[in-house]
Amino acid sequence: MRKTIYIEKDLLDDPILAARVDKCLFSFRDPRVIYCDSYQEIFSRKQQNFRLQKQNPALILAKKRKEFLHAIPEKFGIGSKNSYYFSHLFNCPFDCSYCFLQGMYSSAHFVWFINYEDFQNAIDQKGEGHFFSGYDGDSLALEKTTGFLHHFLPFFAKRPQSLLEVRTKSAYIKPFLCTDPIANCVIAWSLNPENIIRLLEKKTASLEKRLQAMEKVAEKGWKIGLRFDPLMYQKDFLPHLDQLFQEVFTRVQERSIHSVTLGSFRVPKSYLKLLKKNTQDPRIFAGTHLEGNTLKSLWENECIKKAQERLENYIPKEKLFVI
Amino acid sequence: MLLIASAFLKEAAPFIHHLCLKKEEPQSSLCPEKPVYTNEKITLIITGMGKKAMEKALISSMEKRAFSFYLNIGYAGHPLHLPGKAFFAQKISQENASSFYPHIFPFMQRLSSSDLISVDKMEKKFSKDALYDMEGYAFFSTLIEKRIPLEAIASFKVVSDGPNHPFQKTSLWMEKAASELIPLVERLAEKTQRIGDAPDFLIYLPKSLHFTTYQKERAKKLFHLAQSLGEEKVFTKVTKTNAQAFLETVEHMIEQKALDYA
Repeated sequence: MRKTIYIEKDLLDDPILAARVDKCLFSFRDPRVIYCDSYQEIFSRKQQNFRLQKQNPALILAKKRKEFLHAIPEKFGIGSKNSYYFSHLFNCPFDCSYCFLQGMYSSAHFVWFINYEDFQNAIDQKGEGHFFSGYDGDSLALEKTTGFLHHFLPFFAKRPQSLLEVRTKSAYIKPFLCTDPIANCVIAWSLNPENIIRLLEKKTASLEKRLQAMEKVAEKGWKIGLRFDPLMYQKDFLPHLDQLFQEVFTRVQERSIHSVTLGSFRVPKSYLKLLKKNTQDPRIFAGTHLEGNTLKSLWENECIKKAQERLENYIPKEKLFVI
Repeated sequence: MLLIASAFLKEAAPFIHHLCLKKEEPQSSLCPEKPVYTNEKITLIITGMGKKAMEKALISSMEKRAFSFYLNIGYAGHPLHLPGKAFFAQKISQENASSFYPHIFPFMQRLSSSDLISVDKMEKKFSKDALYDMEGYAFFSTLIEKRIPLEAIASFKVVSDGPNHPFQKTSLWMEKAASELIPLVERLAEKTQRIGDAPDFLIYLPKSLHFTTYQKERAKKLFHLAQSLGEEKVFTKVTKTNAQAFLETVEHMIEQKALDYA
């Protein structure tokens, strides 16, 4: 099916961005190109049908003009007081039932901000810190189109005082295998028991594929991040958890692990209405309750406590961060 | 039900003929001032030319009947393409106004697409590579103002004129495009035909218990969750003496089922 690509007209005024647009168009077979003034005309419109768009999302090429970095509170980081996330991509080709993006965005189209240099200038202005990619969409899932790592790995290689985290549920690791590892890049995989991945993380790589990918990049010398977040509560939670941890820590050596984070399912109240409308699996709301402005699992404390106890058998405490 | 809006009869004639639409009697018509043609799945209204006529006809139609999809079919000028070429509008614009970007359904991909610019008078200059008409923008803007989702609106246009082809009120070009457009219209009509109502959750609630409005809303949400699990029968397995206890028990049972990601 022909891909629909919306392009902000202004991109063509900049030779570097225009070249990036051309390269993108060449990578699709006979794309349908529609020009717009701003990505928001399409992406931010109210009353959109997220599920309908999710069947065949369009790609919107845009320029980010402000708010390149967002500060992350220290308790949500992995050991730095200066932590930020940045999003070169809105939305994700995967379809996780619990994903907050369904509650945050009214559109399922991808927005790709192609002005990487402006993101990099913003990062340089901050100086040292931890910089996380993969908050508003999977970092690697659209790598073949965006070439994000092609631009950012060399950038961070020259800035050893900062850390780049690339978070994903994909098994696409080719860019990492084709280049020498850099010490300040963490490839972080989100993980859940295999049955949860199969039922709730549609279109993502299976647990086995993710583990295989981890093994390969670790062998190459890259640092791995394990993100058990959000851990979804289920019947027989502990046996499933034990099996997951055993599999992961058998396959990934502790020396390759940079950090492990642990968190449970939580959704800001403001996203709930849309999330309930758009999710494919309302089971995710079973056993949850509103605590202030956040929807949380009733079993959050118990889950986290039990998971933390088990993880401390596998990794030193200084590598474990509980969200 | 699918609503088709066309500006004049010559544009609509091939659709009226091929889709076997019958003219409504004025006294029982959707819109007594305008010709209306219907079958069991499609209503087609001849709105008259221009944006005001389109706006008035749409508003009048929507006040009388509910539609699940809205389609504008009509002629448009184009600087480059020959008369008879069919398009769907991928972007609808008007001077000094924000544009509309309709949803592109997979089955529409068989048609070519083009930007559509609506103007007040018949276009002579054709300065952009786009279709030029007089009703398209009003069609979209009127429906959007009535809170119709953009995913329920589309516009098919057939080239009727250009710099070297003056406009003529004829069915010829629409007939030429009919073989491309009729199947798409039929497909849309099938997709938007009203499906039988989903099972009413109220029939699952015990008639001996009184449920407040709030409790009914709660029951509705539980029912949808149970439906997604294929566990609607949970409702019939619970016997309680009051609505609150009934709902709490049902909720607990459904949650236990929901957490079993076997």
